[in-house]
Amino acid sequence: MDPIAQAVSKIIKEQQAVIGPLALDQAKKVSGLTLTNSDDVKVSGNGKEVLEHLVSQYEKFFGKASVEVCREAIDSVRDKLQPADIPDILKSN
Amino acid sequence: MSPKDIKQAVFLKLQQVVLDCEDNSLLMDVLFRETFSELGETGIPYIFISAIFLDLNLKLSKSSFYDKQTLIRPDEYNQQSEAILPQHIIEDGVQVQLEGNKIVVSEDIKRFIDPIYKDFALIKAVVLSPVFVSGHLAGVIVLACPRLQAEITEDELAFLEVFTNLLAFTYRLQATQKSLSAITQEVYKMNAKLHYVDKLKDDFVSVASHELRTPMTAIKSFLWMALNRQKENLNPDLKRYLDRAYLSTERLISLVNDMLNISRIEGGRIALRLSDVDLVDLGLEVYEELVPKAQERGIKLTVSKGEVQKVLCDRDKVREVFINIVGNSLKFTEKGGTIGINFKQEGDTVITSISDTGRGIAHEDMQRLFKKFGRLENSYVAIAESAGTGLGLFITKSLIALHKGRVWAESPGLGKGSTFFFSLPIVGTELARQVEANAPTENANTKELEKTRLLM
Repeated sequence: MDPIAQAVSKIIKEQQAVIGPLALDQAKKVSGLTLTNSDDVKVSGNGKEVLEHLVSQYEKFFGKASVEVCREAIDSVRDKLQPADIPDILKSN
Repeated sequence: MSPKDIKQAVFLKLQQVVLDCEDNSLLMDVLFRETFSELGETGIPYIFISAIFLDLNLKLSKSSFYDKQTLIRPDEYNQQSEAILPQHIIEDGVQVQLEGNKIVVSEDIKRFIDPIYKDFALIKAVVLSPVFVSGHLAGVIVLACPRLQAEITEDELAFLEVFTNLLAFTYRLQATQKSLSAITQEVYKMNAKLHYVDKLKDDFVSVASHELRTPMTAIKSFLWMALNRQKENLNPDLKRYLDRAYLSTERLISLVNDMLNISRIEGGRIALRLSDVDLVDLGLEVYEELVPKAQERGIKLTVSKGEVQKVLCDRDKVREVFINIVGNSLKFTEKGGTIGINFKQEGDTVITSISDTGRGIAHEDMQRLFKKFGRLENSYVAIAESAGTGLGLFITKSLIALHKGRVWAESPGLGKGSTFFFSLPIVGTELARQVEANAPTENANTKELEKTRLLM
């Protein structure tokens, strides 16, 4: 799995731990993401934008706290991502 | 189409606009824009449409304004005040409420519209339609009309009243969704905190277990030394007490090891070292290890030597699974009983089954079987005799889940034996590819599993 898809997968899994199946439902609405579960993730188009849209999708429904959860979720794969591929919203404060 | 049909079609269209709008925050703006446009299409044009919403104290809380030039301007009271004079509108709205909730048409333009509004000269009448929510005045819709009062038909007013009802419904819907959204975000925050606390708990269990194990290992060693003193015979009571203390210490060490394993699995600190594994070979290896214990207890242990394809798995982890399940069968099977390990292929997987003629499982206990500390009522005696921790099957399930496999049990009932099954992906299948793609790999935090020790 490429690093962007791994980051997406980590985010969805962490959101699932907080809000359950709703996390996958919201991720499926994000343009550029194709997935059947949190382990089977395909990212098409601009990966950085897809990541940004995914975080925004969660933020729209669950507020700022969900952005923090997304930031922490990608900590373990942050080193694998090119700095240019990390949207501002996921950069640590 | 008759004018009535056209208005009905417009209303249905506007209703659909409300139902189709996914972004709740834009709902009112979308409805206003569509309404303004549709009113023009049906031949009853207006110069602008505005809505002011009131709080329970009848103070202005939110407003929207729409005309051809300025488009929508929600919540911009200062700009809107350039066109309308809210205080008079509110006063008249209250008056309308007192007089029976009727729409008001007025040609006293200056009372409601600021003369500096750019199209003031075009306005011939003002329509005020009060919005009621739960019987209270919640706002007023203001329409600036380029026709005189006499040219506004009853039919048109009836239509505007229906539209106002739709707007009231939309306003209420938006308010409800806004409060739902606030509740959702609060619930999310609480869940996120719980999740964080849960992680802290896992870390605590991990550290505490580690710290507990060292002194317990020392206690166990001293007990062993006391029990195996060569120089003098222990009195029988003291020997019994020391035996019990030694067994209890072993149980505690096993419990700590199981808790450490769970903490590592749940914390993602276990890596899978995947390879092509012949399950029959692995089954025979486990057989060799456990057959002395089986013979000691008078139980017949067998392994079928049929051929199945190799599976993709972490050999050491699956060995733990075998030891856990066969170990359970040994604990709960009486002398003279049998335990059989069998294999079969099904789809993308090889299914291993371990059947015994032991105590069996009651139907109502099946749900609890693979949960943490899910020991069953009828197993307490055996647990006490055999020193289990109640965590083995939970660990088994977690390890098989890492391989995208399934573990389950069947039993005809108490006293009728039981069969445990687990599935693993055959090498080269799509399932195996998925396991390979998502297997947790080694990193700085990776730990080994503590080995399962059978305490009989």
